[in-house]
Amino acid sequence: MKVFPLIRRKWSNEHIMAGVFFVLILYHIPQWVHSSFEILVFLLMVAESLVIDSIMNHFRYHRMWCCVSAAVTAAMLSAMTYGIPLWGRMAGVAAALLVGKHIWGGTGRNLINPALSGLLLLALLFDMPYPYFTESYLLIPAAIFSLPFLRMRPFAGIGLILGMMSALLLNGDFTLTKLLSYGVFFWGCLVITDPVTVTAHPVVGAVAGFLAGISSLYYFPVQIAIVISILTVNLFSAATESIYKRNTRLLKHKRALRKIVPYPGDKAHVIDLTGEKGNRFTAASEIKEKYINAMNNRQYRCNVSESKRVELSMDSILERIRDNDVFGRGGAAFPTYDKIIAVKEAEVPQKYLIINGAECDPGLIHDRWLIRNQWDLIMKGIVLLNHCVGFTTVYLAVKDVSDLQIPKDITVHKIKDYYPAGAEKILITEVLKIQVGPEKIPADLGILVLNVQTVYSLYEAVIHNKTMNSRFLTVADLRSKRAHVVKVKLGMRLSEVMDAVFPDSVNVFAGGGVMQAYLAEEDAVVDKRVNFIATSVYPNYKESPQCSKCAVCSSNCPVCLKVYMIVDLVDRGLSYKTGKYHADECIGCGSCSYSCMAGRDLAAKVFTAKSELKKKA
Amino acid sequence: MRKLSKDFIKGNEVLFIGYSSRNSAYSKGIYQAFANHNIKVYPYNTKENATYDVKVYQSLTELPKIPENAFILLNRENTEKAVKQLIGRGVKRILFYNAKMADEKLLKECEKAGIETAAGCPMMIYGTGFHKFHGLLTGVK
Repeated sequence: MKVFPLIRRKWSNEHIMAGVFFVLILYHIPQWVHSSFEILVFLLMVAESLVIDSIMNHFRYHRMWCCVSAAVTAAMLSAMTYGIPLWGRMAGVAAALLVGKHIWGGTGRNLINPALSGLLLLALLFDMPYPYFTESYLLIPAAIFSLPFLRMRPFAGIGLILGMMSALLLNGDFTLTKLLSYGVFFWGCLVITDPVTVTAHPVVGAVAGFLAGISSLYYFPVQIAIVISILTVNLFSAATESIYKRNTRLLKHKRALRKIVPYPGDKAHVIDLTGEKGNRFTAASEIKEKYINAMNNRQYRCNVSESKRVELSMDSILERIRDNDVFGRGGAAFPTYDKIIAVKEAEVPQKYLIINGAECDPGLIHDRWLIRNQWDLIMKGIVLLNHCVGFTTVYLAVKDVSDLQIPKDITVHKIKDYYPAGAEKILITEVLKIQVGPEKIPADLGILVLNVQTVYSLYEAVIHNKTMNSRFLTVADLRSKRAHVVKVKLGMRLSEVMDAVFPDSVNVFAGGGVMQAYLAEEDAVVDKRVNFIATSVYPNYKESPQCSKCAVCSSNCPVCLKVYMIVDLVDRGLSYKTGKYHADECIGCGSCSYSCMAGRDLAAKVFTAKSELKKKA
Repeated sequence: MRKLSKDFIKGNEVLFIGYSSRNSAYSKGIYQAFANHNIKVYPYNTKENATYDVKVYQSLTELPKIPENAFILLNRENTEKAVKQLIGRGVKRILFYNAKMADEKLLKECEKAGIETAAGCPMMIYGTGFHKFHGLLTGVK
């Protein structure tokens, strides 16, 4: 089953490259003011680059497409080669795209910046202008608009700018016109920030950028020096990337995902589709019964006579948890009994219970509703758990602590609003500051993490002796940004639930949340892992293999995987080699697919790699 | 046969004949474009042993119901076979991917059976970006 986030970032690499292209046009203004013929030359060079790129992509991918990056390469060359004959500039563009880009395998695979390889060729053949740009205040807008592009490779970019500025200071040339004419912002913001050819590693990037900047203007003040310096940074970056198998800087860069605006008033009520209280769905369909019988192998029972609070021994509590099939409601559906026993048997001096109310997935609202409306029952569940294990501290981890009325013996831990803060091991790190390694389980350390709804169902199972075949979940319409908390029976058809809440919905998705959803088939039912049902438009992932190695996927990976390297291996049919990038540690949160700047469903590729490694193991 | 227009597909169901596993990106694009406009798609392909991301029906009897609209993305030869299968089964409108897929004889058969026909890529109506622009150039409204 293919699982993917239903929402994804709107911005793409193509948008950014279009922005770079616009700024490069601004760098042409002094030339165009001087000679309007240069506009025609510029257009010819851009057209040539697009044709070459299309032809090469047609050979490579059997699809006739061209990238904005090809036009950027031509625009960069056009800005730097004023005064060179037209045929030479055209040859430069051809060399840049063929030698600098396509000989390596196209976008995302080239070791060196294509424009610089073309520029190097032209510098060897022709007498190039030096400094690079004419001294003109007309370059000020270009310099200003260049600055936002530092975001792509900030450390290398700032390093290069500081290096070039230091050189100008040492030369006694530090003026605005010199900054503009030597292209300090051009090189620092637009060229060395190329994510394909420059490392994302901050220290390596900053040092290499600084050395490139200072050496090109102070030690070797010739036109070709900056080109060679940055090409050296490119090669150095490639070497660095192959040495560092894991990106260790990334945990600080998690980003909060947008929250769906819930349907007004949903906090006050829940839609009950279980039929338990005489609601609309009173009869279970055949498929529903079949599913329940298969999953539980026993009949549904709810003994009213036992619904009053009873004094139970520890063994009786555990027995009821096991017999009534209490399972994790956070998405993993792991048997709660096994979890409790593992923590109970752990030989550690201190034991912790973390009630997971983080609800980090931006599409879920039901845990928040439970905490605010069923807290008394959840509290009773906590008391039962404590009676069985004897915890040192009980934590409630939530994002929003407003209007909560929690007893003093429970420590409320406010966690940051980012995804996936609620993943078990990440939550433990957030709350207890303990790192649980990939080979360990939290129970080994005496830590029990249970979802809010799991504790609620545990109460129902123990006190009411009720088999747990119903659950709360979020049903949403992502088009109109409406969501409801709905109580359903396990085994109900997803389409039946959707029809009851949002009638006439065509695209029905289900899963752990908006970030981990799958397309529901006609006869799909609510199973133990379904937390979320939604109707939405397709997220429109692209099939393009053109990754630009921007590393945004890695920056957003909560377990710091080099996602783009894993995906590259999968694309090349080398999934079995992804072990060296720890693909097996992926938690399947979908953050990489959400954030991919090329609009690709990366999580699906990492999942393929993970499955392959599992098979191999 | 008329040119595809916005009001050609009526109701909210369409039978997609020729949903391809080989050209899955394009087929998926059309499937999603329909679905994003709240049109339920029944993908159909008689090919055996093919793998798809979505449920694809292999025979008309397997379908829960035959929709009134059908979209055909096949070569000329297979189009004729598919249309003959559809006649008399409740299909009222057939959209061909392009006008060359059906000859005059086939169109007359459709007309005789009371089936309305049109030609055009549905992405020009239900797609986005360049597809819409393509629609604009070809006069699809």
